Amino acid sequence: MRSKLRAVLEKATGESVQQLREMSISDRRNMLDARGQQMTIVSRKPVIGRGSVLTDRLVSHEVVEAQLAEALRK
Amino acid sequence: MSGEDVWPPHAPQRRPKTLLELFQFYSDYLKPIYAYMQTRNVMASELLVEVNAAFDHLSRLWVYNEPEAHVVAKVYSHLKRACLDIFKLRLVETTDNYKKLCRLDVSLVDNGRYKGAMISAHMDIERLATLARSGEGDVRQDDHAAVRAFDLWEPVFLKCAEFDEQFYAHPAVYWSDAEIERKKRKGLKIAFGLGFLASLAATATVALISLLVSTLA
Repeated sequence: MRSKLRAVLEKATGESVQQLREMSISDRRNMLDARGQQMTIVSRKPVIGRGSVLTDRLVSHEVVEAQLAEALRK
Repeated sequence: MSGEDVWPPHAPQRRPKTLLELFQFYSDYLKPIYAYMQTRNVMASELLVEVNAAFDHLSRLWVYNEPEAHVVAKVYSHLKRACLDIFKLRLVETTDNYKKLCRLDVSLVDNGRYKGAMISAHMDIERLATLARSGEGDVRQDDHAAVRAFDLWEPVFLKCAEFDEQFYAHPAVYWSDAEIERKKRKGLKIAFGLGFLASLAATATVALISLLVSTLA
């Protein structure tokens, strides 16, 4: 799975993952600015951001059993 | 897990416990996908807030002498959420693209196979995203071998990229788009022509009636 994610990132950006890791964020910003690609800041609430990660949820019988077994082992 | 499946080889596939592990996680996992988002020229303010919040927690290690384990846990929670935000932003982008495609007449593309495959692929993405959304809060495995939320969201990210490549960037879609524009322009021309003829007929009728009235008078 990791190699597939790497392949998608490399194909989309045209750079290797190593290059993506090594270039600083400000250098990348400068590079994109020099190409005439202006960054737009948008808001995507409530899809992302604080509170977007579901923590309270219904859990299945199997999950409850697994949690109980884990707790009893401790 | 084979060596090929591990990216990069030294990436910690669990919740970091020390500053070193935290920065390894940042450099190995978050940095490449953040750079990917940068290249798309659209940045969500919520993502920037997460990174700023992480930096603020990091500063507290030295400014307020907070314990390292506490700081690392706080920073990691923000960085992890930033990663999940990026996966979700990709999903939003693909969903927007799907909605645009639904507005087009793609019923004839690939002899009708395109539309069915597109709907099926998007349903698959929806199914995986629902699964990821409902399981992303489960952190029980994060201390062990893997971060469950990433394992759930990565397939969604990959499917979204595949969808855009296969369907949104399909060469025939531009033809469909142009065809719809052509039909719209044709419809406008017909409506304008009919309106013009109707106004001519109305003018002629009024002129005829006024002529008749004046003749009778």
